[in-house]
Amino acid sequence: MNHKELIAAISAKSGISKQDAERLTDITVSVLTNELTDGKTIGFQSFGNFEVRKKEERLSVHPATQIRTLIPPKLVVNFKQSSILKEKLKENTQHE
Amino acid sequence: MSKEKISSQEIIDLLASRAGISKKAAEDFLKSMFGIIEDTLIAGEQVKVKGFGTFKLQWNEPRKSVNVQTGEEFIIDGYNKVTFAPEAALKELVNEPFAHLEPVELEGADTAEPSNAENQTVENAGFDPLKIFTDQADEIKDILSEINSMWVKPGKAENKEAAKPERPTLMPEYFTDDMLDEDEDEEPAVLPDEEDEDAANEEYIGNLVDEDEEPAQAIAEPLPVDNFETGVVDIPVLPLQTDDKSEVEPTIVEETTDEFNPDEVTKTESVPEEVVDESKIGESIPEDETTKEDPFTARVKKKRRKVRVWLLVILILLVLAGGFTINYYMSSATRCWCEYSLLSDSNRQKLQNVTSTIDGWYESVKGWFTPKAKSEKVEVAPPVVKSIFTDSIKAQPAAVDSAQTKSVSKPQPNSSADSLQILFDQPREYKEFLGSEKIGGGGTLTVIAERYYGHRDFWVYIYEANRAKIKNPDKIAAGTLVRIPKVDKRIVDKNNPRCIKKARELHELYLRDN
Repeated sequence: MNHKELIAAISAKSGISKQDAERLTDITVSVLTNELTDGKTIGFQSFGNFEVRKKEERLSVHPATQIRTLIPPKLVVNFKQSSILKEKLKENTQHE
Repeated sequence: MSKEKISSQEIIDLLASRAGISKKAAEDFLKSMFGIIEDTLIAGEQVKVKGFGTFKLQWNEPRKSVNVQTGEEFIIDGYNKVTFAPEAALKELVNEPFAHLEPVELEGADTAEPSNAENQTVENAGFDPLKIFTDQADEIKDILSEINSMWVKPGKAENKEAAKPERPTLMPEYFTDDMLDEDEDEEPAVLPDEEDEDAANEEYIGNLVDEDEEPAQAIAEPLPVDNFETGVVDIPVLPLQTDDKSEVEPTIVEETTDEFNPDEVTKTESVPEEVVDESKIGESIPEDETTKEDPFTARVKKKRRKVRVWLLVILILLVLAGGFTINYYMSSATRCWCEYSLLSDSNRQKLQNVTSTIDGWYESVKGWFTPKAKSEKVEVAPPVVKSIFTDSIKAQPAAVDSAQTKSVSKPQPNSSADSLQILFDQPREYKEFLGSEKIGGGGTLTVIAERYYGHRDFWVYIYEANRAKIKNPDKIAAGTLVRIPKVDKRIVDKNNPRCIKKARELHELYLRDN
């Protein structure tokens, strides 16, 4: 499902226009991004936590050339699903 | 980075205020949004939110685990997990604090530690020789002042000379390099060597100076002892003197004392033999016949003794100057340069003073000696004297020859380098040709140059020979027939860095022209 389909689904479900849905989605995304950039953890109880984690610097060795490279530290967004979502998935999905 | 956690409620508030809608509407919107994402995920599809990221379902296989308390094995059931892959834009925004950092390729950790060690040793080596050097400079000053005092009273010189510690005479390579270096850098070809040596030797110079001092002294000590013995026996030293004179002059003029030490050793070795012979005569002559010559010979002997003293002084001065310059050179202490240059200048001046006076001495002694030899020849023991005389005569030309060969052989690199320069400066004319090549098929000028002359940089000579056909060496029409000129091998010597340098200069020149 891509962005367009998502917006269409949202507008269908909540009864707002697609434009509104798109605008709200964009605002939501920007709000979430802002909060994450500030280093805050965002928790949606029924969904999961968005968290910024710091990956420490590390030394990597290229297995073929044996070139050692120092990888600098970086910040990454991490998502961990909530237990509620996990249960839901367990009930509703089957692995083939 | 604060680990502040904000709940969905705060997001709803923010969304409501930003979008200008009620909190209820915002909450409804968010719920429906995440509800749809969930549903889509449950349906087995991934959800992409523009500007944010992609949600996916990932199946985690069931796996075995152990209960930490009881040690029982149990199986964790397989489950689906929602994964979130942020978009590049989000990644960059979040990683902004560390965005300036980039991966760095490292040298091996093995080399990192030795390089530190190297630096330390270099620092030490740079420090130690300096200290040693200044110490030695002080010593040399003392010795020079002693020598100056001896200048006034040469009679006492012999005793002092014997007691004096010798300066270390080090390896001839350093000696010559150093001297050439002083010689206004006439031979640039020597410089790289010197620099290499500098860099390579820097580390062990400290040790070298330390260690060499003792063995070198051990080597150098026999020298004055030999001379001293000759002084005790009291004999004419004309051959020795001529040798030394011829030796001293080239050393001062050219400052190339390559074979200085070996020569010195062999000469001092050869002297005692003559000494024994001549002393025999010296003893036999007065006893047998010539009583009237006694005062005469006494004066001559006196003179000769003085000459010997001065010879000793010169030798020691030379050795000191050599040792001093070598030590200086090896320590490569640039900050001592001024002090050194002053010192060495004064040394040289003294040396020249000494040699000029010695010249005077020599001339006068020669004047004394020749009539005496003639009279001896007439009066007594003709065969022995003759042999000595001829020996000394033979020795003289030999010494002169060696001096000449030395003076001829040393400047040779200079002259060859100069002739190379002349070759470079001469306008090159190309009359003979090795062959011709077609551009395009056979390759570029550089490739052809490498094939014919052994080095890419010599393409400029091909270009010079074909200037009529080639206007721009960078743009040669395919199929152009260029003639490969026969160039003087001394110019296209790929092993001579000067040739390559010259070719590169021409290269720059021609590329600038076009």
